[in-house]
Amino acid sequence: MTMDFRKKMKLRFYTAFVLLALGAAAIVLGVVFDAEYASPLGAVLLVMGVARIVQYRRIMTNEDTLRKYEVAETDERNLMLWTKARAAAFSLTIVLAALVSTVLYLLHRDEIARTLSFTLYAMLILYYAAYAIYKKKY
Amino acid sequence: MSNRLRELRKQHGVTQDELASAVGVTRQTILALENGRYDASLRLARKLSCYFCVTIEELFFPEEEQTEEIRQKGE
Repeated sequence: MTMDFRKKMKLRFYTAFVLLALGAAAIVLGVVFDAEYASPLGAVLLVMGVARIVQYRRIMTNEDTLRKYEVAETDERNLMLWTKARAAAFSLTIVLAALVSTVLYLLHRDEIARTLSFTLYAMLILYYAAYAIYKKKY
Repeated sequence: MSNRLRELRKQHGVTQDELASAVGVTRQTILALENGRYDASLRLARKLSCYFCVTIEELFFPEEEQTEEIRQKGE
């Protein structure tokens, strides 16, 4: 068990409290200002925060569970699978966004289509920038 | 790439879980290696060969046709 991983888990544990606080704040603001999306979003964040606190608490109080989590997170095959899944999701998102954007333009929903297109361009720029950086680094 | 992982593991009387724990990977990775669905990195290959006290070449080996093809290109 590395100290770094124990510290990482502690950080996640405390970050979960931040999530919980943000959720609670969003709920309160949603109610006070009658904002339509704030309360449901706040509820989701609150539940996520509580779930993570319970999960991380359970992990950190048991050495075996903590070690299993460390192994699972550093396992090279798992890292490969996560990388492949992210890459596939990114590629499919690009294709889907392009198709939806085209359909929206054809349906004269110009503003939504334009927003989606710009998001698509930004994603592609970020991809090429990241590629250039990694190519230089490795 | 083929390997003798399952053979050596059984010879040493070790479970997949024990081997995974010893080299710092999950049991699923050991299973995937044994079934040939995953190729180990050099780092993991070295750990496994150290565990079984064999060389990497004795543990992992490409198919005979691949070896021959690479050998011919080198000549």
